[in-house]
Amino acid sequence: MNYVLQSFFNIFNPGTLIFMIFGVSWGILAGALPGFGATLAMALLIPFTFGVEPNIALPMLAAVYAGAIYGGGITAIMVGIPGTSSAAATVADGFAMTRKGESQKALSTSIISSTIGGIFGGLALIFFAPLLAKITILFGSAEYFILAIFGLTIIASLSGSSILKGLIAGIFGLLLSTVGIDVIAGASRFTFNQMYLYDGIPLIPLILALFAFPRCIIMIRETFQEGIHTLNLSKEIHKIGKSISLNEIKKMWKTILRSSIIGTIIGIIPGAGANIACWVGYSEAKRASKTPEKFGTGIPEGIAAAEAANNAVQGGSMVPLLTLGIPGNAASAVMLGALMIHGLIPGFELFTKYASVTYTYMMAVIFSNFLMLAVAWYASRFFVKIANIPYYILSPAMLLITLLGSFSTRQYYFDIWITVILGTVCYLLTLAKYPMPPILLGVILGPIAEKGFRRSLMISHGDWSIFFTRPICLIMIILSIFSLYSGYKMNKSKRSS
Amino acid sequence: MMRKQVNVTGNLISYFAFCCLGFFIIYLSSSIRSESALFPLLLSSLLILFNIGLMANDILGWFSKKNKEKYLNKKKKIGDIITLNKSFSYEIYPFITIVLCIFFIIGFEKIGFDLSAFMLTFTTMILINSKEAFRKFYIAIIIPLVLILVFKIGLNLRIPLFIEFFLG
Repeated sequence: MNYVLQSFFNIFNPGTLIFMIFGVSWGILAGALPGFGATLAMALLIPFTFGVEPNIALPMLAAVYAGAIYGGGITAIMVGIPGTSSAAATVADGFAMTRKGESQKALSTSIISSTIGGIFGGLALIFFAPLLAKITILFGSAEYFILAIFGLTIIASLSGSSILKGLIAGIFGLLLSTVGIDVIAGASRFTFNQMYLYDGIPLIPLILALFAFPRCIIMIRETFQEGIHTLNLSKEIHKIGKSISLNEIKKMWKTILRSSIIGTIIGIIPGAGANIACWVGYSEAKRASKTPEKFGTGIPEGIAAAEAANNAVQGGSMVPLLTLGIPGNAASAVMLGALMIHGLIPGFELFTKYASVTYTYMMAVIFSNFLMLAVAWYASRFFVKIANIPYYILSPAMLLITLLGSFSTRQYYFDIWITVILGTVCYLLTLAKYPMPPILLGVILGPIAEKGFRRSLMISHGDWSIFFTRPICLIMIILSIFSLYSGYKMNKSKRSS
Repeated sequence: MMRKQVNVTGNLISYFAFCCLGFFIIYLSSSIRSESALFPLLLSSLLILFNIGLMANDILGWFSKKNKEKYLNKKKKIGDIITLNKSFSYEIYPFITIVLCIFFIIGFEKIGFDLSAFMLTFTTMILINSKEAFRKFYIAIIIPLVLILVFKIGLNLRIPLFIEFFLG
């Protein structure tokens, strides 16, 4: 309780508030830009947070996440193009309402339901995360190794079109994590006598190489391939109509609550995420409705169902992230990277040694939704106009932020080379449909996995059965196999549909 | 159809690259102490194994698809060739951008961030839309300036600038 109170004071510190308002605004804008999304928005902002205290930096990133998920819905409503895939379900009713000249009502429904969903997810995080963290005390080195494998199999099986490609990407990430001085034996590995690599591959240039650099290049490619130069704003944007009334919100409370619960639960399940939550929330609202035929014709309930669910995911996905170090989706993987950059390692210590920072972050997950409500209520339309920035300005600006961002942490030119070389490799891998989140997770979980693996073998005197005989290990192995199987089934059904 | 052809090439290159990486790491690991080399060795073996699995899976898939493609008419084939030729023209722009980034890094070190950033921004703008780039060239000055303000003044970073070299 003490930490909760302390986190309140940390959040209401003027510096934190200003950074959070900036974070929400940047998040909404990035979410509204098709192809950007929460992952890229956070990746681009991480270099700016390096010199900032974790009590300010992490709440700002929480605000970016919340803003980006909501921002995806703005363009879904106004233009019919979801800024992020998590807003795909919003298009059906959102754009239909804009066509009817009710865009203001659609936007206000989206803002309110997103806020309620986000707060619900945040409350679940504060309640469940400390409870789940206590389980990690039971973990030994063998459990940590299997946990890392479990995290990788989950993200690998659910983040791409092919499980094998996901696993290969994960192994590639694990291999990248072995670069540098071996922390147990002190031997130098794969450094090619470059002293810049002794500490391993730095995380910020790596995150930018994985998510930002390939996106810049792809944007440039798209301008030639598909002739996309900017968002095409429709004329309907000018017909705004009225905001949603309190009575209309009251009528939808069941839908919003149901979607918030769905979003939180889906968020807690690693590997799922906002993309799935929005559709489950939408279809459940349609199933429970007395007038399901109206869904898709432009009703506020359709927007509320999708938006409450996708925003509730943020809080939910942070539960396995903060306690076990398993990110639920790509954006959480970047968040995990940000935590590591600020010296915070997921697990029980986050709730004891670093409790002040952790609770401040968790409180920020809730509070960023209030800020989002305030900023979005007045400025949604403004963000749509900014999102109309032509690609010939956006791409070079993003490219420059990426390159300077990778230089910013250690101020070595070598780090920019890392971003460009690894970024080019990642661009080629993206073209061949390899997912990027498993690579990041591999790099982050690599040292934990290796330490756990080698220490376990030392304890057992080289006996590999240690990984298969401990109860928690066995449970996680079964879960890993189950996640691979469900990923296979999901990909198969995707291909057949 | 066109996308599939590109993916086949991309996949083949990726199999080859990952297999080479796996063997290269096995080769490098031979010169590292055995306990430190164990984990990378295990990973590189898995990398090669999964690649072989993926290759087998894809080859089986392509063979079954090839039977279906036999029935495609000539018109579609001609259409594909046209699309294929068209595709190569836009494939080159990403690589030009990557080369520009390399020039930027060299320029950053030698002539400072301000000038190299202006050059990178302006040339990328020209590459994407030359007409608008010349009309709005001031954007290529504003973007680096904003970044200098944020990183150098706001975050207190040591960024070498051409103006500083020039002024001594």
